[in-house]
Amino acid sequence: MKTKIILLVDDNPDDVQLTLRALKKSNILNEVVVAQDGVEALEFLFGTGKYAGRDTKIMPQVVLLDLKMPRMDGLEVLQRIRKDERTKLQPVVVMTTSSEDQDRVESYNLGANSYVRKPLDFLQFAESVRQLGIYWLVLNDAP
Amino acid sequence: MQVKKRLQINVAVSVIAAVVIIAMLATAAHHVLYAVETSNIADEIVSSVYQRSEFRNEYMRSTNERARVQWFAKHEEIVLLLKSASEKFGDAEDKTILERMAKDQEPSGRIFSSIVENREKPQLNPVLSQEVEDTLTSQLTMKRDNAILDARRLQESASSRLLSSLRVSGWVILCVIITLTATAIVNSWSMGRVITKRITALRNGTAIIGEGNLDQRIDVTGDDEFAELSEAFNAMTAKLRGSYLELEKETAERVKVGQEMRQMATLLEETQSIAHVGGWEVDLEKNTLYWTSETYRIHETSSSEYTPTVETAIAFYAPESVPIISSAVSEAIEQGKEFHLELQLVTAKGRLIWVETAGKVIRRDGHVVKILGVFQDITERKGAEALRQSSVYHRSLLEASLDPLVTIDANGKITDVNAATEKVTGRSREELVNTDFSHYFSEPEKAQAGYRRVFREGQVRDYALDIRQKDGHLTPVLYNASVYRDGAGKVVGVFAAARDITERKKAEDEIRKLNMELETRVIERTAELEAFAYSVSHDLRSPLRSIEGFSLALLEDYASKLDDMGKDYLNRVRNATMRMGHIIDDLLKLSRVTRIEMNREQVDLSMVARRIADDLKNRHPERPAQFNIAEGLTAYCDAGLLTVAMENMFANAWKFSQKAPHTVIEFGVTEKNGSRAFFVHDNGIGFDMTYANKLFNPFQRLHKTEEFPGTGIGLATVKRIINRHGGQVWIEAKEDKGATVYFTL
Repeated sequence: MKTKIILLVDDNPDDVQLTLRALKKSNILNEVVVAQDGVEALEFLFGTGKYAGRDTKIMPQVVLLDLKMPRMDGLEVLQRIRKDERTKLQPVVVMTTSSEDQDRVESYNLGANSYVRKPLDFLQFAESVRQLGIYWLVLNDAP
Repeated sequence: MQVKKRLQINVAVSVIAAVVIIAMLATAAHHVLYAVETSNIADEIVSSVYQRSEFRNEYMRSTNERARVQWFAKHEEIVLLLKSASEKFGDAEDKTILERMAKDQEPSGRIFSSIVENREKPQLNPVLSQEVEDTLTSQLTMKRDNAILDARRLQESASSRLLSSLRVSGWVILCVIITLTATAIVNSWSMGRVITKRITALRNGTAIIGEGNLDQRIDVTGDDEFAELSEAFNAMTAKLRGSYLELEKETAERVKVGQEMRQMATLLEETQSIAHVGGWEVDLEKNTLYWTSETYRIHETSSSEYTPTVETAIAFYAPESVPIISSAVSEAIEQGKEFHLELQLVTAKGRLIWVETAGKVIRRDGHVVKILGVFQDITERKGAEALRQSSVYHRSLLEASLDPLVTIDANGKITDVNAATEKVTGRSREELVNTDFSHYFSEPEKAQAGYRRVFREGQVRDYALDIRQKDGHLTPVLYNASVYRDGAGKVVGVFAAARDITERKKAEDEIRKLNMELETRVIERTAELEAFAYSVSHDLRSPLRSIEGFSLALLEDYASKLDDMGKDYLNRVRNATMRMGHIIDDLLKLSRVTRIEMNREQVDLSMVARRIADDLKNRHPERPAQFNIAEGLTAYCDAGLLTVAMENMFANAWKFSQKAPHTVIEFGVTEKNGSRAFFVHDNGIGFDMTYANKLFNPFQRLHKTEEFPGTGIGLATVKRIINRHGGQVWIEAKEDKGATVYFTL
């Protein structure tokens, strides 16, 4: 299971916490790497900066990507991922609080595999995460 | 041959056939009777011969005296019978047989006498005597048998005669019937053929005559009734031809008289047209009005276009002249008063002219029966008078005008200008008159186009041009121009009045500049608002999600450590955050309907309504509800925005009618204050109209949240959308009587 990691890119520690809890509750027991912003996410993916020397052969099963972040926002991260040969085919799910149409349209234009609005009701959020798990991850049985 | 004769032949043939058949039947009956009679005689002969033989046998047995006597009696009878038979039978062979039989009778008698003699004389030698008797007896028996044979022959001959006579008469009757039938058929067929042929010839002939060819004659050959009929028809045609010729002659004569009359009328008309004087005549008995050609000409119409009557002729006069001519005509009729008037009249082509008309009455037995009159166009004379009078007055009016005025002739040359024109062009009247008018505009082609349009359409309104002054300064003006006519109504040029719009132009430019600034400012503000909305949606929502998420985490992960009150508090925290989330969502929607770009098209509102209704029913299948949606309602609007607005209206109707036992929501269109208003009506709880105008403000609610949940932003959103379409929205309601939201687009 070591190789099946999830990259969660979100600057809001509360959302990180809640997302991790939701994944756990959905029996998605993969290793989750958390990047605090877009720059850090790219460093992880390409093995640079903070993640220099990382084995870049191990790529995340899915990137859960927030849009509004300091330094580099989610749309730019998505653009970079799609531009690079190494990550061109990387599954990316955009998760955001925003419900603006322009964000969704733009995300799909830039090649997002899926777009999920973080619902305020956590149960709904958990269900979204669980569905993503079915799409992109191997669902683990509870120990 | 005549048809009647043919029919008679048919009857005669039938009668003859009947007679022949009857004769044949009579002959056959005669033959049959004869045959039966001879047969009976033959039978009698046979039975008599047998009886005589019986008497002989009896005598032989008993030598009875009585038998002997009887034998001789019978013998006599047979002889007589044969004698009478030879008279009856006619056939030669039969006669021979009868003769032979009669001849045999005499030896038979002798033989029997010998037998009697032999028996009654004393018996000398009984053996010999017996021998003699035997010989005699056998001779007699032979004679008897011969007689019987002959009688049988006679019988046969009689029956064969009967048969042959029946056969012959049968064949003859058959032949007669066949002959009769054949004759009748042949006769009928030939008769039918003749009749058809004759009738066809007759019909063709009459058809030609019927078409008007009175010289046509029908063939009259033959001696039958058709020939007679044809002859009668030919006679009739000839007669018709005669009357026709007479008629033609009379018509020609009448035409000649008519021509003479017309010539006289033409002479009168021409005289009138030379003098420009028309005539008219009212016949009061026939109630007709007659006009001469010149009168038609003055009215600018013709007898083919218009048939004059007193009423319609009076209607030609100008409104102010109608009462004058009307009363003059009635006075002439009632009092015999003659008149002489100068009046204004509008011709059929719409030209206003002056006419002089005078009427004279004609009486019969003291009553006015006709009014005769003359009629003359005096426009030119009147025009000359009027012109002299008005010229000075008009000139001063023209000069007083501050607007530049100009008249241009049909060749585009200026004929007159006022002082204002001199000022705006910087040229004197003398310089301007008789020069091309377009020369004084910055765009001469446009000026000429306007001039041509005046001729084409009779006038132009607010035609924009720039007048160029001598020093090059331009003055923007709006031209109003129309054609003007001479006294006879003929277009002779254009009269044009210009209005200096320099000031107005300046003001318009100012407004345009301000508008552009305003628009730029709006765009900037909208962009700011969008950024704000984006940040609200993201940044306000984020902490809420944390509150909600962790509250749930607490409830789920630490349920064992919380008592019921703790759980209740946490649920209240969650509900409050969710409510806040809804408010943020609705506020965003509200701001979006303001920001979004409008894209108007023809939208089927009935379909939108049906979709919303289906959605509501699907989400709440348990609620008894009915939607009455009018068909085919369309509007020119933004489909997305109107859908949002209608969703809100339907959601309200749905929400506030939830306590009704059976929800009824209606969508339709009606007439309100003179415009087309769509409406959404519900049978819900309604409200007090005192607060109605507040409803469209954001966050304004009339009911408690616990009762009817909501954020109070829905109707504000509806109002924004409808206002953006330039429409109105309002609510009419009564407490407990339902509410109706009206909107116009």
